[in-house]
Amino acid sequence: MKHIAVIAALFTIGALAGFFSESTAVAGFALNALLYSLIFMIGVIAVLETRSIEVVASSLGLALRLVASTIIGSSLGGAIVGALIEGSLKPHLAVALGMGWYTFTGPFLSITNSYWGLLGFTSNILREAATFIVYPLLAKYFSIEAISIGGATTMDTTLPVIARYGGGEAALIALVHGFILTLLIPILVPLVMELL
Amino acid sequence: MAFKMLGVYLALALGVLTGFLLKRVCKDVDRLKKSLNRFLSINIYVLVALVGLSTGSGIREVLGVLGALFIHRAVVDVALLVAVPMALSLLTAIVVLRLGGRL
Repeated sequence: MKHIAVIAALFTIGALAGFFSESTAVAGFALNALLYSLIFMIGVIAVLETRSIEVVASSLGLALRLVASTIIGSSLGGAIVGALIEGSLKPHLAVALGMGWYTFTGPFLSITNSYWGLLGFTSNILREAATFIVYPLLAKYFSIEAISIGGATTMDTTLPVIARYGGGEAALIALVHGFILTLLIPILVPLVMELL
Repeated sequence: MAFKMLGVYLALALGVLTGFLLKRVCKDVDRLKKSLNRFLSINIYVLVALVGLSTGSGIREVLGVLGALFIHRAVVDVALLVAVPMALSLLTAIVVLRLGGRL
């Protein structure tokens, strides 16, 4: 519980600093550098903790089922929000199917409508941020299932938190889950905007 | 994004190779794992603060473009679009994986 409180406090302090400060270019560079070094370490830890090739193979099947769950859950969520709020179903579904990838969803939707772009960017950046706080809370009971809340971010930004609180197997599944979603999002979001 | 993804895979591949090397060379793997996990924990705190910084800056930029007029509607939309898909993704994963008999 102490760790989660520290994470929530650090995130809030960081967000306030980012909101009120003009220059955050150095932070962007530091974020990328730290992210790569953490992913390097996760690679080392995953090998040290993985007992055999069979474990890796079974993780792949599990990751595929998790990907399907994330897509179904996010689509249902977007459709329900679209039905609840006045407006069309299409943008809400597209935003929800962004599944944490804000640098794609925001700019892509802003081509059609700047308000949808705002929703695509803000909702997905907050989904990533929320994963940092929610995953450690859920990891004790749902270490694998809770990976789905991170969406596409589970292959990079939120991977260190998943590795730390969920363990080596969860990290491996999260990586595959995030990778597959990253390949699917650029297909799913334009498809929703085109077809519906 | 393609450059970032390439960097991620490169870092991971180097990590995996180093892991295999350490598994062969290092005698006390448990102690090494413990040290790496401790280092990971500390770095996560730094990562969270930096992600917060970039989130705050991103939100400021978006608000700068659209102005305060849309704030109320946007807050409701964003709150729902974060919470509902996240909750339903988790729920679906629990149903699929637990009822599927894997866990």
